[in-house]
Amino acid sequence: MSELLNQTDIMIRILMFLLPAVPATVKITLLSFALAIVLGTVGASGRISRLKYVNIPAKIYINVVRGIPLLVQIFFIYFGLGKLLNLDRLLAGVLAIGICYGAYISEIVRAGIQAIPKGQTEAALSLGMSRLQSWRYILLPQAFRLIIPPLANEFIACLKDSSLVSIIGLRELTRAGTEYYSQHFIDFHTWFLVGLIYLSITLSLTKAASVLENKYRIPGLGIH
Amino acid sequence: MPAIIEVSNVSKRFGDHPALENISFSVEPGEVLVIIGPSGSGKSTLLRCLNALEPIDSGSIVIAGDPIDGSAKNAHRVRLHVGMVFQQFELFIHLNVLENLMLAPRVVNRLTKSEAEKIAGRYLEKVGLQNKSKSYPSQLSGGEKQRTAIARALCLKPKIMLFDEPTSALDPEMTGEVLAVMRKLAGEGMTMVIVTHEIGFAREVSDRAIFMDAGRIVEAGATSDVLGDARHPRTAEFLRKVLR
Repeated sequence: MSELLNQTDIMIRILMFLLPAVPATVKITLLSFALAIVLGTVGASGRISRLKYVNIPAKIYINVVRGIPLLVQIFFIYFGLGKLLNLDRLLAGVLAIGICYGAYISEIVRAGIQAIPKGQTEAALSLGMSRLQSWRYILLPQAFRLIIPPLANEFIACLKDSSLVSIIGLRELTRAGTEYYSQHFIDFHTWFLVGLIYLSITLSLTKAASVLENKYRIPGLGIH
Repeated sequence: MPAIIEVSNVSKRFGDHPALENISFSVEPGEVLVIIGPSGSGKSTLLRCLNALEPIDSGSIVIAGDPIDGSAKNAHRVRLHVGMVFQQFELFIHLNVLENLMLAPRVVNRLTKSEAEKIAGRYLEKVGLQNKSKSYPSQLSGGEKQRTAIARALCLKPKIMLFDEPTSALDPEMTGEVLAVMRKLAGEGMTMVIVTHEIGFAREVSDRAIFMDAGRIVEAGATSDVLGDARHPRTAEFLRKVLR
């Protein structure tokens, strides 16, 4: 009985140590993902564009970034560029994750856009809309509804990959776990709880994604 | 009266395939022109050239005094004069009927919400769909979709309406309601260019007819002549087939 109480006590103490680091994880994830969505939309429009000086840079961006491990990109941006441009840890971490995920999301957005029948754009143009307006009002709203499931995947992956920035000393959930472990040498309980916290966040995100998907479901669009 | 559509010596190729060869014709304000011909004869391509959805290789197209020059700015200006109705309707599937009608007046003509709503309401009534304003395109019948598409184009108050096989994707019992709306428009003096296989309807509403085959105009003239008493054997053969 006293052993069980002791165990519970340890768990609560670890949890109290870890929980204050959760907002940092959430913040890094949200900032990175917002950047990734912007870069992904720009990247997708570049990939679709027939203009060479737009299309080629977009292709290079996507293929280069996709081909290098995120951890290496974090090192490069923080230790390499960071020293040069005087980036702080948070900015470097967010930039690295955002740029990396932007490349993946570019391809998702492109798939979403290209799934929309060409006639939708032609109808928009024939009504006097500009290319930009046809993207803004017709293509993107339809495409984003189609790509909510793969975007939710990326968001969850992004949350988990935010743990990588612990390596440059950003104090988020994983970093807090490392700190606790190095002070108390309790490995099983610490990493069990770190994992559990990640899991509970990702499971609630999964739920949120399906709510979002239902909210924006258009009668007649997509397979139901 | 000066022509509102002036097409001179227009040619266009898709790769090796000549889509349009040396096409010339003109349309006067208030006139209804039908373009008939077999599939792949270039009718739809020609129509799409008239609102700058397809670029032309040579020749010239002048819409309401404004020559189409291939620039985005010019295309935008031309399209404000020219409404287009597509075979597959192309309603914006994520917007309801009212939103479909209001979008262009809002973002292109920069009208306020209530102004746009007023115009949309007027044209919905014209096509008899005022009770469907909150429906999504997927919840409409084919005929209702096409009437919505016509109303959507009318909201920009075009001088010319182009119809690309507007009833070809419809069940036979739905074509009547769409043709009725088009008949009404023609009666009100709208300039219309219609690509269609509805020969009966063409005879009834159009002033002039063009018969196309393999990217060329084979025969052109008053509808009663072209569709009633075709001089060219190719036209006569086509008419025999579609009327059978």
